[in-house]
Parts: sequence; structure tokens; C-alpha cells
Amino acid sequence: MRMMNAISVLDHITPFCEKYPQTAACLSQVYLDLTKAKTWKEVEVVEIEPLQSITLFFSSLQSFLNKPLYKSVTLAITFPDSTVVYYKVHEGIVPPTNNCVG
Amino acid sequence: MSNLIKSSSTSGPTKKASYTVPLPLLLSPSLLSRFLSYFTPFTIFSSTRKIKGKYDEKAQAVIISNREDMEKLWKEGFFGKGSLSRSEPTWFWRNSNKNKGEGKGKQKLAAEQVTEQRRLVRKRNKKGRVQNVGNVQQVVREEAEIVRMQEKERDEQTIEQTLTQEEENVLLEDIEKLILTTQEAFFLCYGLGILDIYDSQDCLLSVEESWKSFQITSNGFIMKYVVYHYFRSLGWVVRCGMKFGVDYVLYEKGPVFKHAEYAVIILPVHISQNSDNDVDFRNNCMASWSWMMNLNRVCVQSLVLCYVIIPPSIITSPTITECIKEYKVQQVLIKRCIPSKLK
Repeated sequence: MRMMNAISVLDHITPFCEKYPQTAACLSQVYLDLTKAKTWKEVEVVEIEPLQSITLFFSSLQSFLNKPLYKSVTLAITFPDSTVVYYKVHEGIVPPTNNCVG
Repeated sequence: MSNLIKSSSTSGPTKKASYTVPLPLLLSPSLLSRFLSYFTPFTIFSSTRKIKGKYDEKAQAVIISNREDMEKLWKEGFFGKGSLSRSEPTWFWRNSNKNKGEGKGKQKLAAEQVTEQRRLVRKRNKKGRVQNVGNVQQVVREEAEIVRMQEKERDEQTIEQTLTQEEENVLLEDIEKLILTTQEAFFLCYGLGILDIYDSQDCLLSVEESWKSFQITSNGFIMKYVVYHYFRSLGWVVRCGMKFGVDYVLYEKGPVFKHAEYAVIILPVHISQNSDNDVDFRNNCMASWSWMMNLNRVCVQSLVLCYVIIPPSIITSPTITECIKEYKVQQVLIKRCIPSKLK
């Protein structure tokens, strides 16, 4: 029987938290939200060079999405009380999907 | 470890009837009540133990770990947010195996489960509607298919449940905490006097130390606090408004009863030029008509523009109360109306 606690849960992202100390709090908040609250099973951290500045501008997001590899980005916006709001950003107009978004 | 033992007796989401106390105030016993307590089997005053909160500078939040305190703060005034829940900290209750899956009959449901059920029903209705084009035979066939789909969903759910039980076989520990914003924490500490704030080294912070500390890490802390304190003292339940694109939302009784009455946006008004760290907050606010109309459309609630008039640089080290008194608050209510309906 494994005992799960908050410290072991964050082990996965500890190296990234140490590498990016300024955004470590946001990273752990979103990671916990996705893995525990929304129960996504496999969540991996991917480092994306052009989006790593402190303030994210829409221009850098747009130039990132212009590359053929990525179609969309989901922004996770955090607030100190641990609210996380997710926004999906597409390149250009996309037709609506039938999945319930709300 | 103590959380593990306590959480096994988590009672789950609070019933609406249990929200009886508007604020977690301590009532000190008067002589009469002390006299009466000799005759009544129960005490009417709560303990004088203060709640312990840990201030995380990086996260700009105060964290409550004790399960009892978490429930007390939520029940008596809707303070804070569960770190793994939408509002009330019910993560452990929702994920303990006996409470998973769809509700049957009179089973208690947390807010997240209510939403989940509603979405499933909508999805089914949508499938039914989409397929309802065509003749009756086709409709009958599709209805049978929907029933089959529902059964398949239920089977999948139970398979999933047994799978997760088998593959994880984990003793679920309640790792959820209650997160208070710096404004909420300061209100509980300074305004109500029931919270003790400790820093990362477990040293108790005095009210003045917390005041100074919060200003350094939070942008525009004093302004936001003044508004929070103002509406709380008028009896409103003040919650974070980020999901609505505003600063705060005001509830008459609480988020579990009705939707929010008002959405508040804080706009600073500087009397004189002074260089303090509040200058960056909302200075570039496009307080233009188009901005305001955009916001009014997005928000279902009535919009309240809360102007905080910031005093000029104050004399050296006033007390917190004097500092707060210098700030003035004025509100403007914006509500869209349609002229033809006004007649």
C-alpha cells in the first residue's frame, strides 16, 4: 500500500520548479490541479523556448502558433487562492466542436 | 499524519441548512451566559483557540491545513477556497471510493458532482435531439441506442473504478488545504482576530508584520484590502472574481444559495502624485466606455465600479487603522437597460 502525500506528488516537477523559481508556485498549482482535481493521469512538463519570458505577450504566442507543429495552446491562468482558469487559444478561426465546453 | 485520521470522518459537502453563522466571530461569555451555562448542558461560546495559517510568500496566499479549521472557515462566512476543489474543500470526500460515481437517490452531492451530472444529462439530451431528425422508427432505434450508450457508460465507469482501485491501491490521504488570499487572511487576522499567521519558518507574524509583508508581495494590497474590508463589514460575502473577469463578486448570503449579486472592479483614484508600490495597480486601466461595455456584457451580475481614493503620502508609520481610515471608497453601479422596457 502506497501512502500518497503532497510532497511525493510534486516530485515529478521538482526539477522544473528549481529551474524556474519565479514561476514555481504557478507550476505546482496547475500541476496539482490537473493531476489531483481534474485527475489527468499523465501530465508532463514541456519546455517551450519562445514562451519563457516573464510576461507572455500575444505576439509571441501568435508566432509560436504559426509554426505548423502546434495547432493550439491551452493557457492556464492562476490566481493566488488556487483558482485556475483554462483558455484554449487557436491559430485562426476553428469550427465549434460538439463537445460540451461549459 | 493527523490529517489522515481526521479526514476519515469527513462529513462531505455542507448542507444548506448548516450555514447558520455569518462570520466566525468569537463571542466572549457574559456573566449571565456563564451563569446559565451551569444549568444548560451545552456551552454557547466557542473556544478561544486561534486558527493557524501559514503564509506562503511565493504563492501570495495563506494556507490552512487543519481539517476542522478549513470547514469552520468555509461554513462561517465562506472564506477561502479548497486547493483541489472549485470552492468548498471536498476533494477527499469526492474521491474516496464510496462517494465516486453518479448519485443515487438521496445521496449528498458536492458542487462538482452536481455540475457533472448536469453535463451528462445535457449530453444525452443533445444526442437525443441531434438524432431526432427523421421518422418515428428511426427515433425508436436511436432511443434504444441511447439506452445502450448509457449502459455502456455505466459499465465503463464501474470498470474504471475497479481498475483504479486495483492499479493504485493507495491509501488516500487528504492533501487538500484551504487557501486564503492575503486580503481574506488579513481580514480574519486584523478585522476579526481569529487567525494567527505564521511565516515559512513557523514564526508567528504580528498584525503589523503581516500588513507590511503582504504589501511587499501583493500589488495594490492596501487598495484591495480596503474594498474587501468595506464590503465584508456591510455584510456581503466577498469572493474572488477572477472567473468573471472582475476583482470581487458579492453574494448576499453565500455562493451556495444564489448567484452573485454584484461584480466589483476596483479603480484607483490618486489625489496626489506619490511614489508607492500601488502606483502600478490598474494605472493603465482603460476606463473607457467600450471597455466598460465589454465587461458588462460578459458579466451577468450588475457591475459595481468601486473607486478607491488613495490619500497622499501619509506620515511615517501610522497605525493600520489610521492608514485604512485615510482611504475613501465610492461606488458606482452600472446596469444596462433597454429604453423600450423602461416604459
